[in-house]
Amino acid sequence: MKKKGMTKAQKNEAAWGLFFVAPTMIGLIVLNFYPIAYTVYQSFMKTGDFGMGNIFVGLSNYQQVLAGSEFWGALLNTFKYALIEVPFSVCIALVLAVFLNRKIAFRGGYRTIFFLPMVAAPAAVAMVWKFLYNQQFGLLNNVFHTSTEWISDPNIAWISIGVIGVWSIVGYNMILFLSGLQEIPHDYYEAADIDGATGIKQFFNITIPLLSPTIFFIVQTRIIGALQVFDLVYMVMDNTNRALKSVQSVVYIFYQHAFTYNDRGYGAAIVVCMLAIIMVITFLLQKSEKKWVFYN
Amino acid sequence: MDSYTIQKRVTQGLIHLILIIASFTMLVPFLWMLLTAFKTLSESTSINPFVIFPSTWKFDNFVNVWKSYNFLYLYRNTLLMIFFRVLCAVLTATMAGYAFGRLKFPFKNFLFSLVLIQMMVPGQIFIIPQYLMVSKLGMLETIFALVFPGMVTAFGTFLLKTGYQGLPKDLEEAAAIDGCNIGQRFLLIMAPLTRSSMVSLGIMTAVFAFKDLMWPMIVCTNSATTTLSAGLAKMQGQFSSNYPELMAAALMASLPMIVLYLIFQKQFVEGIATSGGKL
Amino acid sequence: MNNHGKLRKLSVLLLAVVMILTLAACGGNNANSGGNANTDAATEDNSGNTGGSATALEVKIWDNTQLAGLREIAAEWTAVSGIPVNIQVVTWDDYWTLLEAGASGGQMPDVFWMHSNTAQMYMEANKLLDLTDYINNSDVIDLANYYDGITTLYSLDGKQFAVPKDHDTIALLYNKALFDAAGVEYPTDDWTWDDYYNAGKAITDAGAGSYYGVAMNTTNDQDGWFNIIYSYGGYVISEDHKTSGWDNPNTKEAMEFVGKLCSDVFAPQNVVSENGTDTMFNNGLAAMITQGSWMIKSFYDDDDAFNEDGSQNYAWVMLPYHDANGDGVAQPEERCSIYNGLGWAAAADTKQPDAAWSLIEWFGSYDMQVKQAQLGVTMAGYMGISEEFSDAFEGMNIDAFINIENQGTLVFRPYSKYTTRWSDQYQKELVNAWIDPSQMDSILDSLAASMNETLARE
Repeated sequence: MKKKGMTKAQKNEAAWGLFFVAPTMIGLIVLNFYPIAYTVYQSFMKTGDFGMGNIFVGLSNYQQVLAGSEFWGALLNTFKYALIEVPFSVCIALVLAVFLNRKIAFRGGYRTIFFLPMVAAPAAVAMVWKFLYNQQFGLLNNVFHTSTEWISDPNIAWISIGVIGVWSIVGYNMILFLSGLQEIPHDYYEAADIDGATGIKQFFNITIPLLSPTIFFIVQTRIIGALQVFDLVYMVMDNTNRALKSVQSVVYIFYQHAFTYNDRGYGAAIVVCMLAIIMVITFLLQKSEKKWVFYN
Repeated sequence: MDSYTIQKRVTQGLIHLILIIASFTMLVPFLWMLLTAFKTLSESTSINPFVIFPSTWKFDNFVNVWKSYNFLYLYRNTLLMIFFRVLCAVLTATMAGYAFGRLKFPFKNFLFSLVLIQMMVPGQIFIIPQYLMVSKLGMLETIFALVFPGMVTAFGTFLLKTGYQGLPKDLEEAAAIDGCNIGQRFLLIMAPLTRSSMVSLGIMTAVFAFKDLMWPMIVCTNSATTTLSAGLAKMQGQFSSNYPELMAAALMASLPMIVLYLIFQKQFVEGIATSGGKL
Repeated sequence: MNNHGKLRKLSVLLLAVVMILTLAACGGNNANSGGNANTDAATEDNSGNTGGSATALEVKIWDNTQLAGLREIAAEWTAVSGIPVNIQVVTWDDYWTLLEAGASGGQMPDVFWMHSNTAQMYMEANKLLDLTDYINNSDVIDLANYYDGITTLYSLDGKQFAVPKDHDTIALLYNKALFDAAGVEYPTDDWTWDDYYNAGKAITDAGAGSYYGVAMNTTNDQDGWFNIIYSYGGYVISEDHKTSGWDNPNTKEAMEFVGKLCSDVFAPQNVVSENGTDTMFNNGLAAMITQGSWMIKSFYDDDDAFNEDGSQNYAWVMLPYHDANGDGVAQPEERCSIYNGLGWAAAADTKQPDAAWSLIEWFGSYDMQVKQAQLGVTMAGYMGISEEFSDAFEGMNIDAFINIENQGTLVFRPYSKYTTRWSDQYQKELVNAWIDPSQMDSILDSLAASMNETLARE
């Protein structure tokens, strides 16, 4: 094949290349791809206990997953979560980044504060928010003199969870935007100043188009991240929370079936479906990139 | 003062106002953690009147938590886990990133697509198979177990690949003419140029290792072998109703990373910026 | 900028020093299996290692409140056998993940607790050490001495896989201060469930949202509404563990009553779910809860358990009964306490089966069951040593837990091979009935159907 036509230098380069990727690839195959393959295999099985006595059942797990309402409900919840987390965290971060990109006092201080949630332990975040949201003892209800069921009302809980998601990630997005903003040449704004364009006009006519690659990148990674939401639901939502059904994400129900109920095959089918959806979305996003991303 | 400066000042003031409100919102959970950690149990659940500031500022809750959970071990384990994960991740990702970014070799596209796919898979499916591997090696309850899933990194490989692609070609060509082989070119010329990508990968690895929850909870169940994040999650089960002690523990667990962040702020910011900006 | 750089260098240096120090300080500890925060366990490890011959037995449990007592009992065994024991606590969820992964080809601990949720699964897969011959040859263990629901639970096809560790009963806990505040008379051992309803309703009405008569969640099954179902003559799962009892008329009658409690007595479901029943009780938000004997210690230790003069503020009475025949007296079958019992089991592939058995035998022996009760760890699995347990809580009367054993009926907790699959179902679905009791009947019907379906898949 191709190898026959390789020169000595090419062979040498191929050898070095394979040598360099070997540790990573071996690691990924052992640590990640073997588990992925095993999960796909399990999704076609009625899994026995302790990995023994698996029975091939074809697509039966998939049929059950796709025919039941649980998966679709969880998928809808996951999208609802993404619908809050992604737009809000991106928009707020963008506005903050634009402000902090100016010469302004306490710039560093603001930046430090916005990023702080990123470095807090996830259990700490869940604990404190659960406490803030608590209907009886929580800060929110006691300060505003309300008695809202922030995390128990099915109509509100998904928003409350989304808010924690936004709070946690906004600083991270902001820093990505800041670095993107710094790459926009200053002359654009100077020219616009001379033309008498207002700040808001400059934002929409210069900043947004020139920043669109960064925006695209952040939106894409945030969507993929939001579709995998698990920790927040797992730690904030109690098992008997009546809003659980309207908040539980796909990865959460996967975890329940695979680990709590010991039904690995069914759980595997859930996660394989989710993986397919994520891949389709990534593919569509990549396709759409050229339509709305402005490259210089 | 002309109207232009006035307008400018008003704008500045408005921006500050928005930023201050935003900062306050971001800080509220942390402030509440801090205030609650100093309260007594009854103060923390008092509604009538609702208590915002503790009546006395005593460290009792911190002391209690410190006594019932050996934080020294938690700090040590977290530190060691982060150290080795960063070391492994930077090392393997730098090598692989260089190969994917600069070299031609068979199956390159196929192998790289594997790297991309790994990033789309929810991490929970890796846990049981990885656990069995560690268990079969007889390495449960060790630092090795904590480091194990983080020895290689798809994200880092991706990041470093972009880093290498951004470097100019002529540098390497000049070195090749000087008779350097590929290994020397990588070590002496190319790798040092991607220092900023390495730093950013190191920081991201450290942050995500610190935040990793389920894995340490499963492989290191012992309060002497587990990490801060996992230890904290367990305390939630143990002191479920004692908000002041929980918050004290939450603060103590978050503190090291916050301190590190405050010290290395510039690196954090630059690191994250390179991880996203160049894609 | 310069300062910043210096600070950075300094902190890097500092970090390096700290790391080297901690590495050096803890290096020795790392070498032995795991190292342990608890100093006495660590010394146990060390003495074992220097002794040379014996490797420590790894023991895993999930209840932190029992750790100290069990360590004490295990230490005595070590003194006799010369084999160190390393007991670790893992939270409930992790415990099962761990054990399952261990049984799927990893390492299981040598000795561990078994529970009715999962016992059948582990026994069928031969993951537990068969103790039958050991028991037959033992002078210490005679299974006839233990509660038979527990011994049956851990046996399959005539083989015995675990020795009963403990058993539990349920009682009603109340807060005198709240009863006084609402002007309601204290509960008695002669209460019917209707008395419970009336008193609870009076308190909930008096509290007007600032406190409630009772806090009970759908998860309080064994320690709560299951007891009502069984005292009404209903059941949750048939005796052969094959069919659901949700649509049984008696079960439905009991659950209609629970529905009445939900609308008039219980604290709102979301309040209970956000705070937990125990927290609500301890914070004066609920005047009554039903709780199991394994929880006595945590209420005994609570700040509000006793008044300043040393008298009890928290007090226990027997679970109420359902006066089915209307004679005004409680017959034993009208008062039910759902009980469960853990078992001490060993891994089928343990490297030290004889030592593991010896430890299990030790834990199960009469003397150590007495000691376990005296230390207030839990009620014994061995019959007839309840008195010792009640002596463990000086100043608090816990006779309610003991009296129900002869004045009521102990019913073993409903289970099947995959208990969590359907228990999780009813715990989640019944939330809707808790909120809107008018749905109770239809929810029970759908639960019966889905539980039967789940059971059929086993």
